[in-house]
Amino acid sequence: MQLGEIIERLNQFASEDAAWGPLAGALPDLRRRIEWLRGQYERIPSPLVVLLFGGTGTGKSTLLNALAGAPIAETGEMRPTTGKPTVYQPPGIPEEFGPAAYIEDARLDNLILIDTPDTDSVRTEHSEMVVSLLTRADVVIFCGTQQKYANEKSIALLRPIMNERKIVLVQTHADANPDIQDDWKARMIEEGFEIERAFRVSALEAFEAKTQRRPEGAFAAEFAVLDEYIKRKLPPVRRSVKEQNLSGAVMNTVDALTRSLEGKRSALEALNDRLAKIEAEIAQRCFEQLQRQVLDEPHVWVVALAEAVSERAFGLIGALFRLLHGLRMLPSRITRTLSPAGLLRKNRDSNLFPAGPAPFRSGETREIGCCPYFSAASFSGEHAEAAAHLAREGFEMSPLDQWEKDFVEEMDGHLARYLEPARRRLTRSAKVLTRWTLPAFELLWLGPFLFTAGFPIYRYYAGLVRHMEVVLPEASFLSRSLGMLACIVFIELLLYSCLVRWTGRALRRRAMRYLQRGFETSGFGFAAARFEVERALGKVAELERVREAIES
Amino acid sequence: MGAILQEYEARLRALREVTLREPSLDEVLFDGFDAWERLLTFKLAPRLAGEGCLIVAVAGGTNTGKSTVFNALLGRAISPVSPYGAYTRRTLVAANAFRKSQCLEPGKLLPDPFIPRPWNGVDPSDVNSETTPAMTVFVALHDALPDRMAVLDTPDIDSVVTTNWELAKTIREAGDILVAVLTAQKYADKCVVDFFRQALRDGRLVVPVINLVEDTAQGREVARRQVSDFVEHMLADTSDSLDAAARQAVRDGPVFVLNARSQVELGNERRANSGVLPCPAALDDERATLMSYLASVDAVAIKNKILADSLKHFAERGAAFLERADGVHAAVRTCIRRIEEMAHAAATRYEPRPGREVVTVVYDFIQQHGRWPDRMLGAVTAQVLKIPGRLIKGFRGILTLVPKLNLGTSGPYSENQFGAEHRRKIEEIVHALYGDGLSAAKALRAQSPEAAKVLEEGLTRLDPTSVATAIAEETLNTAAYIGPYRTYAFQELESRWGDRAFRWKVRIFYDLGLLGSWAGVLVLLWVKGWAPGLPLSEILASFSVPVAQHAVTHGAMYLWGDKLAGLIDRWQTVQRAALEQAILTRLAYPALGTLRDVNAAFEEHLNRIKELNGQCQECSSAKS
Repeated sequence: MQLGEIIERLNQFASEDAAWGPLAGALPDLRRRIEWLRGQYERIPSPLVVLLFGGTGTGKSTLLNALAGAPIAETGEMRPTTGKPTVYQPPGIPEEFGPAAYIEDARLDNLILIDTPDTDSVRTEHSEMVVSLLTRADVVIFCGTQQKYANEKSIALLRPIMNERKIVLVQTHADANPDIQDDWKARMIEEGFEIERAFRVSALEAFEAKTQRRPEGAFAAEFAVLDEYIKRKLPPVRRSVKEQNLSGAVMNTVDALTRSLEGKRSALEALNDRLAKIEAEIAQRCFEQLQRQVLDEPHVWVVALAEAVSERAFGLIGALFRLLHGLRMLPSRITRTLSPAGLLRKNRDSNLFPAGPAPFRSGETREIGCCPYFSAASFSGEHAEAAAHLAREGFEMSPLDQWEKDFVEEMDGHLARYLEPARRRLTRSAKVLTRWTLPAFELLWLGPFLFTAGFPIYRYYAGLVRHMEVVLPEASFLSRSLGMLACIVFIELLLYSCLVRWTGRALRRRAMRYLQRGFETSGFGFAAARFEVERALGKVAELERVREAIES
Repeated sequence: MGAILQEYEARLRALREVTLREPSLDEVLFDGFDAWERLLTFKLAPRLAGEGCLIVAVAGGTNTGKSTVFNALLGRAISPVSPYGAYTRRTLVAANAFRKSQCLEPGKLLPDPFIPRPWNGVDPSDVNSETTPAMTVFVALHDALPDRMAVLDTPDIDSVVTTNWELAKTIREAGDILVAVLTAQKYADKCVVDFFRQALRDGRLVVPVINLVEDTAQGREVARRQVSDFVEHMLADTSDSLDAAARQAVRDGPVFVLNARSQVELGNERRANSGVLPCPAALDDERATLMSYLASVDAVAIKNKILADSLKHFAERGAAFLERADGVHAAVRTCIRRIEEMAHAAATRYEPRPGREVVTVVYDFIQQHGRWPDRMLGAVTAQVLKIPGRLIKGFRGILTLVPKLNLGTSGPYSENQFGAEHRRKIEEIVHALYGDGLSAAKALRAQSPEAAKVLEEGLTRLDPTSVATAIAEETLNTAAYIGPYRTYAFQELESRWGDRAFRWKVRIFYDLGLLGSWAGVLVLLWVKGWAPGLPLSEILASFSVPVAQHAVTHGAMYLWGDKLAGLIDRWQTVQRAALEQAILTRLAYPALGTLRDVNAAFEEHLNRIKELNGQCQECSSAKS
């Protein structure tokens, strides 16, 4: 993957706000960092910025003078000498480095050399200046002498940008001190820096030789190599240098982020499981309560179905069924009307399947029919537990009442999903029972009735009887056949009632099955929390992917 | 004085031992006070008696030639040198035979924490070895030194090997005269200047020696200018601890310009660690003057001055430290108080209710303790009270079409139900408290980020669910929750039963009121006569009054009966105390963790340290 793409991916990663504490805490820094990365990425084609860096008195200014071949930076023996950076750059480039002495030279090709103030003197503002200049540097020429190469102060400034800048070691004052390049290099590598080149020069000697004040000294050859390296070798490969720096920086950024988030993954997963467990517990309790209060009462269903059937019933059987139903309901109607609950109830007509709005309201116990059931407040214990676990992992979540609202809404949804189809199924069953089944029952008693009534008439018209006196059947025939008819009607009524009862029970079983399945697979007010947890997990996984992309 | 400082040190050490368990807290408490603490350990406490021996410490940046100057001072190559930086990692002291034997005795001349080892027979590379214990001091014999002087070679103060810095700082506190080895490159380094500025503040004598100077008149001139620059840098920001005269004395002090190159560079590597150092002639004069200057210093006066100055500085810094410690202590205390208050508030939210059990308790008590009229009344009322319940039950049994009214109270109220209900309540309280604790920790961040962090981490370590379960278990530690309640209620009733007014209240409230209306109905019926002509509606209507009264009284008793008789108060108090105790031991204390220890240590030592510091202050003002 290209560097630019990776930076954009990181940017995308950082652009969303997070409710997860550890990530939210890391975001501001990350965004600043990405801003910087983008700036550096855009600067890839621009000239290479080479910083002369080191403690006071190591000869940074002298080295710049020697490289320029002219006294462009102030040098001296009183420490610290340089208090303001000197920017030595090709002409026609904007002055981008703040307050500094800008010196232009047409001989420079795609190269900006900056002489920085010191890193270690009593003037602390100098090292602050160096830190700000380091953000723009591509190559750091680390100047050191035998006395100063192991200075903690200088190395401490480089540590945070380890592998994000190309570092070249230059031992100055070579004419006065023994060679310590190897020890220096070894120490830097031990610290974790990548060191490609090290030089040992005498800047003063080179400067004086260039300005023809004295002949070339013993270290002239090495200086020439350094000069060649900085001016000729580095600028052409600036793209690769900058890209390498950038990839180091991206890697460091991702590493730091991973370090702060990686350990949390298992905790997040545990939290997710815990939330699922709490939710399942709530589902179980809701279901048990509903079952206890609504679903476990088959007669409620039977009554509801009988009500619907008797509204539609017709014919003799229908009329008898209605009568029977009315008789059966009479005591319950009386008690319902006279009971305190019945007297107090605002909506007397509310029954098991209210057509009205959602039945759950926060904080109060509303009823479905005459079954009081739980309120959202009865789950505040579970919600408090979930909130405690979320807070523990650093999620800044909505307050509890929001959860209760969510819970009520979701519960409403579940019940609507359960009640609506149940009501529809009940109506449908009632229709089937009246339109298709009831006519069959009606026909069953109509046959014998017609026979009873029609047989004497048939006999008269067929001439089997002559006199009207004998048209009327004998009393025994009438009473026997009417008795038979009553028996048939009674049996039919019984069968029909049983059928209604059985259908009602079947409806209940079915509704229960649906509800249980619905509760098992749905949420109870934890959607927002679980979404956040999933998102945090997604972020961790995303980070992993970015990392893999960089590594590949 | 010695005793005061000893106690001071002991208490400070005890305090530090506790705070070290919480590094972030330790850092905020002792940040910037390391030097002050070292002053106590390395100078004041052990060296108070005043041995009359000046400790001359050669100190400076890496590769400035400290060891070389040390060798040059002695005129002998004792300390091994190297061209590479940060070579000397352990301290080396040179003394004559008498002082050497003193040095080798721990705590005599060198402060306790140092581990003296004789130098002869030691592999020279041990000085550079990281495996040698940090506080080791190698003691070398150098007979040419006078009795009144021991010379120390110290590790650097600015290299990447930061452990060297610490060591150099301890030496600074232990030394009397510091030979500041400077170079043209290092005289303005912040590390170097800060190091010696601190020494000046503590009353040490700093002798600037500029090394690696070009041996020409101009070179010497530049070097002198650089040294005066160094002195000015060093004197900056010292007006608080040094008066004008002392500052002038520092400015007027002697300066030495050397060009001590190591033997390695002089091509004499083989003799590096033995024999006599071949000294360049030009340097020899300066070396001799430096030595004679060191020898001429009035040891006793210096010692006394250092002691007085150190004491003064120490007491001043001590006051600053105590101020900060007060701040930290206050933050820690607030943190603990806040959590304890929250635990208390949470426990108060817990309202254990024995439910309708209260009714039976009263009748049981009356059956046991009342006289026969009370007992009879009670028995009758108890039976009468059951009538509505039985009626409802029976009615419901007949009319199965009425769905069960599950009010959660009509069934027998079992211990299990009671326990489950209360367990849920307690767990909810604990979970809410846990969340509140976390937000309280966040709120505390503004006041003391460290204490807040400790609290936050402590809370995060705990698993809220298991803690809540444990607390519920502990609070409801017995299977019989109602049992204790009955005991308390009985005790309460017993203590108040002797009171006539109370007895009558119970009679009226629990018995007479209920039986009175029944009696009224019976009287009414009796007056009208059990005539068959009496309309049914009238009989029913007259019965409905006591039935309604029962319903109301029953409900009132269930809801407020315990409160009315004040039977629940003691039981509730005990239950709440149990819950608070459980919350504290299971949640608050584990979360607070070390903060409590720190607080205890503060409580124990801080006031005494303040007193001791006051005594130090008095002492130092008396001395000056």
